[in-house]
Amino acid sequence: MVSYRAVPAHDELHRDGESLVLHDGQVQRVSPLGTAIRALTLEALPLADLAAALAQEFGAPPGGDLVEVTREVADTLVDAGLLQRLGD
Amino acid sequence: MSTSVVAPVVTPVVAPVVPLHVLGTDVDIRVGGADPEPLASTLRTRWHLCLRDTDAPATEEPPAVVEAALRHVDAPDLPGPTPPARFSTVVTDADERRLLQRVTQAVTYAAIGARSGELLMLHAAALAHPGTGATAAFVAPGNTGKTTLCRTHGPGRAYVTDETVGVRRDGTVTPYPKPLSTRRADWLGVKDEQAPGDLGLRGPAVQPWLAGIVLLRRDGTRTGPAEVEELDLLDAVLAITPESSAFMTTEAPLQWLSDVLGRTGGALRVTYSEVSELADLVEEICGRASPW
Repeated sequence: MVSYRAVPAHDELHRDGESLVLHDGQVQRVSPLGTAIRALTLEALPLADLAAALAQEFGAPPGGDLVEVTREVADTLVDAGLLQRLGD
Repeated sequence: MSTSVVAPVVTPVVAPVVPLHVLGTDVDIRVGGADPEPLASTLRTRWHLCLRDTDAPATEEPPAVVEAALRHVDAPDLPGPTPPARFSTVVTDADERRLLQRVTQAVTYAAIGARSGELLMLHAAALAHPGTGATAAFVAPGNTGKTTLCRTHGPGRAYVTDETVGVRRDGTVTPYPKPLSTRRADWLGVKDEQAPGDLGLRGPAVQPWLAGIVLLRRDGTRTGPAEVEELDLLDAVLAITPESSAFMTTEAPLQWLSDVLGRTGGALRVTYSEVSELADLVEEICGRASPW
């Protein structure tokens, strides 16, 4: 089962659920959903657990499977260098 | 008959030094070349607001060093051996105007390197109220109006910098009143390094402190008064960080910048055509009371 873990940042700034993350010389703006994912994955967290935690905070996604939508969002953060995917 | 032998006297050649204090640190320009004194004299004139009293070292650490020499085609002289320094840059050029521009860039680089991690450094012009030190910082990329702003609104105020604003944790600003780099309308694109005094500018007589941050956006096609908008915190930080120096080597720089913006009322973004449109904004920020 795939898990995710937040990549440590040089610095973060949070405001109204959103955040700016300074990592690897770049400042990136992270949505409330992405910010929540990084906060939930300070320790490695399996995808299913992450999806359940997000559903508690944000409700069910309007379309699509909860786990698959979570995977898509998490992988976006992976591509941005802000999250690690473990156990592929 | 007696013979006396007189040993030839050899006088070591000492490169003239132009001692500067910029961004709160010392930088020495060691001038070399075949005929260094005229260049040293020119540098002292252009950098007159940054000259350091060498009898009273301003910082405990040894100065950063920029070695500069006007290179002649047939005799590419360089300064001789130099004592250890924290940062050392060698700049030579056959064209004096271009050399002066490159020396300015090298001094800026050396000073930023020396203060890396110690200051919040923003690529900005800054003017201060001559009596209170309230400083307005105008953040902008190169060639978008910072120097023109200083030339236009600087007389009667304290000229802090047209290049880099260094903010300490307590909100005070370290001046960098360098020569003003003005682009000439010619083919070369080389900037003139003008002495601030020649443009009616004076350095700060009282300690500057940051009163407000403005992001400049010049749009020569627009008409009407300058448009001023308040940026929310994250937008402001996101817009300012590309115009910062040594951000990654600073502890918690996002938090620091956020604190600075919080204390100074947040960032404004002004879109303008002519720098004269900024008069009221400069006046308002330089008239603020200290939040520090």
